[in-house]
Amino acid sequence: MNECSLQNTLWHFIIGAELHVSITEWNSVTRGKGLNPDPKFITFKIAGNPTVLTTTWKSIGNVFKGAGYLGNGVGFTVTGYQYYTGQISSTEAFVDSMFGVVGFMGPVGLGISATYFVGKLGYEYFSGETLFVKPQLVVDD
Amino acid sequence: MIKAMRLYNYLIYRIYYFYIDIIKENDLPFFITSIVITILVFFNIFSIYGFIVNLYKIYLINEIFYLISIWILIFIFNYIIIVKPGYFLEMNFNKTKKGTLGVLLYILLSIVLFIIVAEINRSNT
Repeated sequence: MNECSLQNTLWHFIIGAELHVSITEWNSVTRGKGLNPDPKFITFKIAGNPTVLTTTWKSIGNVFKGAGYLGNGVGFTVTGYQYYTGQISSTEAFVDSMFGVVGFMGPVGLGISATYFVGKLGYEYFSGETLFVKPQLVVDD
Repeated sequence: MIKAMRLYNYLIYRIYYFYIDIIKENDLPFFITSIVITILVFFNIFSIYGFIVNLYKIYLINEIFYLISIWILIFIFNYIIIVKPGYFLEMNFNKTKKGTLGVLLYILLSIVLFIIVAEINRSNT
């Protein structure tokens, strides 16, 4: 797998953002089913039914969300640098940038962007091939 | 200089309210605004840098580590010094059509300028 591509994709460590979405969904599900009458608390039926403050989960979610946005921002810049130096093709730069922009359009966009970059990373890592054709650098003799 | 700072703050103001009004981001608007503004400023700086490199063949940044370090420094500066204190909220800005057009034009020009410089650099590589 191309090292730069791996690096580029790793910078989009948006898994945190997905976790944030999951926590938000968990909160809505538990409230919707009447499992969580007090909006300040969510209750897990794990390890002796401990009660955890929703605000704590929100803070944790915000940390992951912030990390997701920050990763997306750095990844966006790295994509620009790779395009500038000719390490990636124009097509790859365009597609990566578009998903990078989508990543800034709220939690749903961040989820879509995460799916793309994690999928790309997975594909390139497990198949050993790059998703896009890499430009050939000309070496002078 | 003051005029330039006012324009910069207006850009921050529009990005901030884009996240508040349209994206409905109420948890981290300052943080996300700082990231977006850093990306734009960084691409402007990189375009100028690329132009100088192509003109005078002076290479300052060759490793991605330095590039990311500079990005993070710009982000920290933007977040702590400019965006987080919220000065742009006290400047009595208004959301005008002229302002929207100006911001969109600035973003478009930043992208076009970067692509031009990058294409020149790619053709020389």
